[in-house]
Order: sequence, then C-alpha cells, then structure tokens
Amino acid sequence: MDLLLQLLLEALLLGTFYAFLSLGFSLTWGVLNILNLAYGSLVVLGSYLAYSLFNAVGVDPIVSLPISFAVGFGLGLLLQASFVNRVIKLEPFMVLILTFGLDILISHTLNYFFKADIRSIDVPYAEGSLVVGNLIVSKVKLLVFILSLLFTFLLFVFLKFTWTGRAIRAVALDVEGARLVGISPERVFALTMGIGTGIAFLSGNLYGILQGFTPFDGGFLTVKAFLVSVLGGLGRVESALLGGLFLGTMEIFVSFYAGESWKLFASLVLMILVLIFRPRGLMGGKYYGEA
Amino acid sequence: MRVFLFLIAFVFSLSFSQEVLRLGAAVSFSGKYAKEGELLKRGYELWKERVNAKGGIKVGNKRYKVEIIYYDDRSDPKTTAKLVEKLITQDKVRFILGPYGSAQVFAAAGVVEKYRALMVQGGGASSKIYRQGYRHVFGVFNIAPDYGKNLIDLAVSLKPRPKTVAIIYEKDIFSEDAARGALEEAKKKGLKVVLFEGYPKGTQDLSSLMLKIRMKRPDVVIGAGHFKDSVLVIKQLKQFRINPKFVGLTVGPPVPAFVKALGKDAEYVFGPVQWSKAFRYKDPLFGSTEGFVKAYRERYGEDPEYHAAGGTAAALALQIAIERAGSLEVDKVRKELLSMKVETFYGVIGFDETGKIVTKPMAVIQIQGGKPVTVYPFREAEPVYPKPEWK
Repeated sequence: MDLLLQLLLEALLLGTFYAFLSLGFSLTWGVLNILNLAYGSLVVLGSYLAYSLFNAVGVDPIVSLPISFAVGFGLGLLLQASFVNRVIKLEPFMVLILTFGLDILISHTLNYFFKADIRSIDVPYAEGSLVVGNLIVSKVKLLVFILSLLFTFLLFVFLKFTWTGRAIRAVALDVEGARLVGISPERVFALTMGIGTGIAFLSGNLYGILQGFTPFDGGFLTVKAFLVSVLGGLGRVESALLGGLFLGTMEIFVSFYAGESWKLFASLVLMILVLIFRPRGLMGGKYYGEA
Repeated sequence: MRVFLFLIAFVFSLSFSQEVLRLGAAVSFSGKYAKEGELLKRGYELWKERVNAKGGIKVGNKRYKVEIIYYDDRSDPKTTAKLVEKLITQDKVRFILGPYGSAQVFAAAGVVEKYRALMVQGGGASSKIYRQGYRHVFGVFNIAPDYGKNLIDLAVSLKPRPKTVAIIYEKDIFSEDAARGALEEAKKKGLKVVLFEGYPKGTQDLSSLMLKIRMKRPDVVIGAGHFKDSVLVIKQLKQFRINPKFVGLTVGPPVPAFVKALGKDAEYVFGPVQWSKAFRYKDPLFGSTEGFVKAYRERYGEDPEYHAAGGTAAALALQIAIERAGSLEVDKVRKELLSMKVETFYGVIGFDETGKIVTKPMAVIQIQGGKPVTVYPFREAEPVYPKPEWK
C-alpha cells in the first residue's frame, strides 16, 4: 500500500512537469498548426541558459526563471519572423524539415560549446528530501512540481480570461473569422511562437534543476511533448495535464516493475494505441479554441 | 627529408658501440585521454631510464640499450591502429608497448596480431580484448569482472559480515561485466542478492531503482557505471535516505573529481583500483614497490598512481620475458610471457593463454578525510565500516 502511494506520488510529480513541458509544443501545434521538431532542443537550450547563468554569473536557477522565459520569448519571435513565417504557407512538410534542421543545429552547437558531458545545476537547498510516514519526496521534485503547476495555472488564466488569450484561441479556431473581427493572425502567430518557446525555455530551466542533461536530450524530450499532446488531445490546458499525468504514471510504473529500459518502449506502444483507438486524444477537444 | 633523417640515424647508430633495441608506443598526448597518456608515458620512461642506467636489456650475451618511439594517437582508436602499423612496418619495431584506453588497445591489438608483432599493454581493462583469440597481445590490467569481485571480497571480510547486496549497473560492456563479477562473487560468498538490475546508458534519474533499494534495505550497495553515474548514485542514495553499511562503486572514487563533485558525501565510499602505492612486493628492477614509488617521486615530483604503474609494469614484463628468452624472436618471447609468474612492484605478473593477467590482485580504496586511502588487501588505514548515515 505504501509502495503504491509512493509510486503514485512520483507519478504525480513527474506527470505535472511533463504536462507543463508539453504546453509550449501543443500550443504552437494547436494555434499555428505546426509540429515543432526542434522543441526538445529548445528545452535543452533553456537548461544550458540556466546552467550558464548559474555557473558564470551565479544567478540562482529559480531567479533565472523569468530571464529564461524572456529570452525564450524573444527567440520565439525571432524564429517566427525569420524562418517559420517564410515556410508556413508552403506545404506542412517544409515546417517539419525546417524544425528538424533547427534541432540538429541547436544540439550540435551546444555540443560544440559545452561538449557532450552531462551537466547539472546543483542547488544546495534542494538536495534533501522530506519524509512523511513511509513516503519520501525529494525536495527538488516537489519544487519543480509546484512551479510547473503554478506556470500551468498562469497559462490557463491567460488563455481563458485575457483579451490576448482569447485572441489566440479565436485564431486557433478559425483564422478567417478572427481576421473578420479585427484580430491580426500574424501577430497572434508571432505571439504564440514566443510564448511556446518561452515555455520551452522555462521547462528547460526546471529540467536542469531536476536532473542532469546533455546537448542531445532534445530528441526524447520532443517525443515526450508529442506523446503528451497526443494522449491528452490538443484541446485545452487541462488535456495537457491529463496527458502528462498519464505518461508520468506509465513511466513510473513501467520502470519500477519492468525496468528502466522499457520506459520508452512502453510510451511508444501507448501512443500507437491511442492514435488507433482515440485519434483525438483521451479528452479530444479541437485545438485551443473549444472551451 | 626522410633520407636525411635516416642518414643521421644511421650515423648515430654507428657512433654508439652498444646495440639498441627499439620499442614503439602510440599513446594519447592530445584529446580526451591526454592526461592518462602522459602518465602512461612517464611509466614507460621511468622503466627505460632505469634499465639503461643498469646497462640495458640483457639478451643472451649482449646488452641492448632501450629506445622508445612515441607517436600521438590523439585519443582516436583509428589513429592508434594506423600509428601501430607505421611502427611495425616503417620503423621495424617488433615489440609494442600499449596505448591508453580499452578502445585504443583493442584497435592496436588487431594490427599487432596481423603483423605477428608482440604487445604488452597496461592501458585497457575490457575483457573484449582477450576474447578475440589473439596470441600476441598481453595486458597487465585486471579485467572488468574483477572490479566487482574485489568490492564483494572486501565487503564479506568486514565485521559484522553483511548478509544482503543490491547491484545496479549501467548497460554498457564494461559496467555490465563488472556487475556480473560482483554478482558471481556474491553468490559464491553466500550473500543474498536482493536486487540486480541495469539501467540504460545516460540515465539521469534512478528514482525507481532507489525506491527498490530503499524497500529491500540491503547491507551492501554496488554501483557499476562511469564517473557521472557514480556521482548520481551517491546523490540519490542520500536523497532517498538509503543508508547501507557498505557502498562500493566501480569507477569514480579514486579520481580527485569524485570528492570535488560530492564533498562530504564522498566520505567512506569504496572503489577498486588496479594498483596502489600501498602494495608491498619485491621487484627485480626497483627492489620493491617502495623502491618504485621512491624512484617515481624523485623523477616526477609526485606519487605514482596506477596509470603510470601499469606502463612500467607492462614494459617490465616484456623485459623479463626477453631476458628469459635470451632472444629477440617474437615467438620465444611470447612463450616466456605465457609461462611467467614473477613478483614485481606491481604484484605477481602471470598471464593465462588469452594474454590477460590472472595473478595480480586489485586493491580497494576508501575515501577518508577527502582522500582515497588503500584499505584492501594492503592496509594504509582501517576501513570505516559500517558507513555512518548521511548528514
């Protein structure tokens, strides 16, 4: 019984982080209708930004969170203006190729500067753990959980209650309709790309606190983001949360009972099953527009 | 240019009345293994200087002065192979001193075998080197399973005797080998193995393994992995408040970076080493292990560690075989290597038919006061056991 609780707790902590990690990916997917294959690498870029800030300037990785978001937001706007805008009107294939290339470019550039060594951000205050009865929670996981939950909530509020958020949802639902009521889809696209990349950087920052990372972690992070988006469906923030928890739970239980090596295998099997039987995800909304 | 160099070499060789035996080594002086390569070279050089000071290698009635030709393999196995080929075909070297690193040794071994030269190496510990059926490659490093075996041997010699053990390993050739060594020895010594599980390469979160260890409460935890894994295992053991009586890691603890990365948490962790200056053996060239340590200290101003010692030991084994054979023919020297069982500063050197050393123990160190000290089988200090709880 204790064991089950412990595993569920781990799943909750991990799943919430996965949910937040995937939000940037599913947002750009839902609104711009592009699959950003460089997403994982952007996350890793965020980890290295936080790592560099911590080691070179001494900025605490919690303090660096807003910086991460700001830099990611800026980079997102830049990417949108200089690359994505040029190919988005062509066939969707072009965006895939573009982001795939971007992924290779980012990971190898990071490898050039930081080498393939595993890096980690070691904050002394998060090393220990809390013990409640027979349960044990590492402080760093708890910290990342709380922050992920907070940011997810903020995004939820932003999309639901602000004018800009509504504009984003409107564009996601119907570009032409949004244009008719005076929303500029181009600006919304740029903004969404900015927020998406900002989220990538934020979660990269958290990822760096959570565990060690290398320049080549991007690939499997993209897979996770994709999985969560597919599992939950692209509907709402809540569906990302559901997808994240589902993935987290599965990973924790599979790696405990079958072994760490089966984790990725199980995730991919799960994804195939969901795509066959519930192609719109477990919750199944259409994009971010439907409330 | 080459003709010119050759002429110079020719004139020089005439100017010496004594004959010269040329050995060759492709070692890493740049790249990832530059540091280890430099240490290995120091080991070779110390041996060479000592031998030449004593008048050279005795072959039959003649004495040969030793020269070693070095090339830089830039830490790249492909380059190692090319350079060893060059040493054998162009420089006409028949006896090769090994490179550093299992992959480099492996690459060199194929070439040595192809040309029927002879290599003695103190730079590669993978058991793969000895599974190719090579007849001309000998190594003085204990192979991977011994890493795990020695940790278990030490653990069961301590009081109160541990009863249960958990073994976790990274899934790569070396670590899996080392973990199996521990597993087999644990079974043989009657320890109950409560967990034996691998994790994929590059895993950065061992939570599910830690939960299992926490549940099983083993007396001994053995972690087989590389440096980063070792640091991770210690961090997460502490994070999950798992307090085994004995923590042993195959790779990591002897390296200064280990203490640097973990600080106080590195205390009392055990780790195996190929050789340590605490060994107490007699030696034909240096008198004893102490003599070797002293000679090294005088020459380089610091204490030797196992990379340099491995180099000296490899060269020494070759020297003894040549002198016993009384010949510079590869086949005769090889035969002497196969039948040798000789005490040196490095331990007793003797090889099995595949060419790997089988007579030497490994040592186990423990981090005490921020420094690795040898606790087994020779004792620089008493091992601290059971390990105190994390603070």
